[in-house]
Amino acid sequence: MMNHSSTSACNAEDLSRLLTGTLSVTATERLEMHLTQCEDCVRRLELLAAEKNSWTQTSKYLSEDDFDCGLERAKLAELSNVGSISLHSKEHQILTREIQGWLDPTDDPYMIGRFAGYEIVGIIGHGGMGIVLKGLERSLNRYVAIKILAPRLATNASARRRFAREAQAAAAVLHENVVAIHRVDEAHGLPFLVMPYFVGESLQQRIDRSGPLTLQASLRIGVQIAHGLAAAHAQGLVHRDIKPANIMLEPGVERVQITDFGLARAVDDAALTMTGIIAGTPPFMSPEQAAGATIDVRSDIFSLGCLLFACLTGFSPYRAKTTGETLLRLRQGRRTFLKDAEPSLPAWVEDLLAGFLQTTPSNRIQSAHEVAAILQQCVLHVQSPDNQLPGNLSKRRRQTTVLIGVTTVMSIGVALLIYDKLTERSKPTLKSAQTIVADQHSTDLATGNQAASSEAVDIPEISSSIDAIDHDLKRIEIEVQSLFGE
Amino acid sequence: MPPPQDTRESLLVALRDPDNVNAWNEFSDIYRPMIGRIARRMGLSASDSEDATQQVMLNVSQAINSWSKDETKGSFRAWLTVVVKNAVSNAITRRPRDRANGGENSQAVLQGMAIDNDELERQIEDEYRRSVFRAAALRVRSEFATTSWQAFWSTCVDGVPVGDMSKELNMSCGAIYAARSRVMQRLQQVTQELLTLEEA
Repeated sequence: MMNHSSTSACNAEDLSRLLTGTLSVTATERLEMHLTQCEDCVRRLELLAAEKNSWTQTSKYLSEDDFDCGLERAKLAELSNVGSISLHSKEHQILTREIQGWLDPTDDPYMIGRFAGYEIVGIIGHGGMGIVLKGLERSLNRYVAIKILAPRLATNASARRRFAREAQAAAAVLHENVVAIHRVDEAHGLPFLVMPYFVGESLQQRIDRSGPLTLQASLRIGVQIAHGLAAAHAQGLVHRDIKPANIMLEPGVERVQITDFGLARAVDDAALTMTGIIAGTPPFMSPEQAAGATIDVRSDIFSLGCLLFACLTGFSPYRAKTTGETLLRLRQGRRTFLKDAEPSLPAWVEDLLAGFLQTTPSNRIQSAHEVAAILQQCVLHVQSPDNQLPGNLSKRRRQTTVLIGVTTVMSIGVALLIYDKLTERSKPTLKSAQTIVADQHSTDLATGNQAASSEAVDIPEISSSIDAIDHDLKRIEIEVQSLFGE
Repeated sequence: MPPPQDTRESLLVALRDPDNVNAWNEFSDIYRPMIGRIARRMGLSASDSEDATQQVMLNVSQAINSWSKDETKGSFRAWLTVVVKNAVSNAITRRPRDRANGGENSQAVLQGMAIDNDELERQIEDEYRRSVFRAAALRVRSEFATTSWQAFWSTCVDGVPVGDMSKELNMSCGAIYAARSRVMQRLQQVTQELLTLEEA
């Protein structure tokens, strides 16, 4: 209830300006703070915005119900999110028809029906193995995601067995970076599992929305995924489909969770891995998975490498125009390098990813635990360069630093000297001088001191200055070497 | 809210111009889903109601030139009611006899048929408002930031308590009230525009 001492804060004029967006930022913040406490003002604001009828009809008119067909459902799904996949209306229609048969009636007009005691709000999405519904768990008043084995698959005993095993195995993984499974059960002969419903977005959606992530954010996400994977691997579970779309980001907090162990199966389940069907998402698959060979936990490590690359650049290192080409590139180990996709990143990141993206599993980092430790050390290093990089990365890093240092000193030296000699030169001469600077910059240490050979330059003044630079470079090189004791 | 009385003349006039694609799209955006929902309410399955909707839209496009208020001595809605009823009963009789036809469904159809014209007109009115409201929501959606829209949708449509969304979106309750009120204001504005567009 409104408190009389706050009367001065209750200002109808400000409320309407809040609606039209004509209040200053600070005044808006102040008023929003006031609204948090003053119910009367909230009521006034709401009546200013729209008549009471509109408020009460909103839920009735914008909720999906029994009478909505595919197209309407797709429209509402699009309106309601944000997080959920926007389905093609045709696909959605088929799904809707498919689920209608096994939903129980509900007395709540705003729900599509009931399934295993949950009020069904709508379809979130579907995958190779099943349909995901959004449900309301009345007793706990929370939304849940219900993954149901597609009815057409439920008739097949082996699919049913696989789904149940997958669900039970995934439910056994209790880890803060793995989506929890509340329940594994069967209704109407359809096996299903119940997970929390997410309001946040997937990593894929984040990348699509705001582009590549920073190095630090990518590494932090990588650490969490590695921890989650380690927990699953400890239970003998391989995820088999690690990709940005299967990583959920919680809004507001820096926590990520691995979801959809849809393709994960117990590793020792030999009978069921014999199907030969390529399961997974090609640009994020390991080569052994693409070849349909036996896979183990190291397949997930490869996929995690692809995912980290995608965080940093926006796409997988095996991205290609067609799936066939992607699979071919995977088998041949032909990937895009980080230095070509995102040259601004430090060279040690390339080396880091190389530890994930080896074609032969035994050449990769061997466990998710190890991955987590390495990535964590990298995070610390990015936070403060005083922190050492993991062993095999730091060696290369030092060489790189020397290289960058020398190249920078060289460039500055060249620029200064040329500037010195050419202060009164005309534009065309300056231009060729710039070209030399650019050439010099791209030359590495080994050839740097010979790079400025006089035949590339026919202006005598520049030739003589190059000689001077050459001399300076030799001196710099010696200094640098003595600095690092090499 | 005052019931809009026989409101569609202006759009109906625009529809008579065969080159006016916008008018037809506008009409279709609002009426197609509305007719589909009414057919479903009358007990048709999803695919049958789609056929019936198609039929109604076809009838409307053919009859629009000849339709005039004076001749039919009634509103456009009354006329539409008859067209919808006919399309639904056609859909039922056209259904092949050998196709499994759930008893429950037939019952619903019979019940639907038993609804008198007044009741059907009332339903049409309600569905018309729903359709306009949804069309407005689709137009307004892109004007708002994702979080504002989410604040609105979760608390006003999905019925999530404001306190819960405040934690979820990391916004103060006041900011959620403000965001959803802005969305509601725009929704109401656009809804009114769509309604008066047809009344004018």
